[in-house]
Amino acid sequence: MTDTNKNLFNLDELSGYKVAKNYVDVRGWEVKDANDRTIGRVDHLLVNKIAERVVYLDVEVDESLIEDGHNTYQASAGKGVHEFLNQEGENHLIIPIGMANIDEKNKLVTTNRIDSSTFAKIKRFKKGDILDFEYELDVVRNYKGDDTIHSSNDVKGFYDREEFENTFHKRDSK
Amino acid sequence: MAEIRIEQRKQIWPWVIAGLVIVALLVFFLVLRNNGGKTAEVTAEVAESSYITDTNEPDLSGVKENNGTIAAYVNFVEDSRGKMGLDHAYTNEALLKLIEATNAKANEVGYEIRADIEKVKEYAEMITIDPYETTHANNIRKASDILTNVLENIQLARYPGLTAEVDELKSASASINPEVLTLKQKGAVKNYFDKASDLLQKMN
Repeated sequence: MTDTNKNLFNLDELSGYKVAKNYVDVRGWEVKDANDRTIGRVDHLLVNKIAERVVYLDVEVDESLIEDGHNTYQASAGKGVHEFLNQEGENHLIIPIGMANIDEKNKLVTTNRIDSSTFAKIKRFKKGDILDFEYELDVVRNYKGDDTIHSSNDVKGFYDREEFENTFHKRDSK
Repeated sequence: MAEIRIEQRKQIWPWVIAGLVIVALLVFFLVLRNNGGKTAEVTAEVAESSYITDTNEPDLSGVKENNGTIAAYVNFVEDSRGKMGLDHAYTNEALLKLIEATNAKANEVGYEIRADIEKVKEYAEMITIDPYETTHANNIRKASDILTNVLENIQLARYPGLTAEVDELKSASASINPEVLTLKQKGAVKNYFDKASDLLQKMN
């Protein structure tokens, strides 16, 4: 995941950009899965400059989930079904923005389409790693449980999918 | 389903730079204008002080410049020291030589006294028109006052050590009574030329 295909930029590294007015900055907010279990905390916002919007939340995964991942791997190793083996220090994963809900009142990000077992199976990365499009595609396919989505290796049209859907979940102007 | 849009930050630097440029221009023009005014004032002051008392110049009392025109006047006065006779021709010639000597000294030290010289020459001219004119003493006095004033300015500016000589010259000039016939105050007139000669000799 050190490919230089830069579809994604950490908002922090784009000094000329910021979260737009009337949208919330969820960095630092807790992330909970469909079972109300804490997954981790939003560390960064990954943006697509052309779309001028956040397309993924970069989440620093909770230690307990990492432990579960190990247990899941060890328990099922005999069955040989796991695609990824996460290394030590790889404690970040991404969530497509369209699969997250923002609870502004409680400063919380939730996702009711992904549970902790799904998260535990997702290939993680180290903080600061550059993410290539192949990785993005694998993650989204895993979350969706469908290996056939977006058959093209081209990023074109990818962020128009429902997983990144644009619902104008805007904050009320004050 | 969330969405977080991003936007470009408003660039502050161009505004900051523009502001600094405007401030710099304002300061530049204000300072320049003030300096311009001050320069004009200073120039005027310098011009004035140069004319009256340019004490920054070194004391030239000890410097022997041997100006020929001054020497001519000094010699003329010296030659006539022993002579008691005084006529209008002598007065006129002495005055003209004193005018030339004063003018030469003024030119030497860089002072513009053309207007004064013209006026004094007119008085000198008047003396020769009618030898019996009773206003000659008045004209001599006016001429001596002007020349004394010029010499005093030169002394103040360049020869601060010759104050006593200038005081004597002023006193000699004041001794010429404009109401009295010149022939009746030969001594005062001659004394004035002598004092002017002493002063110029020391300046020369």
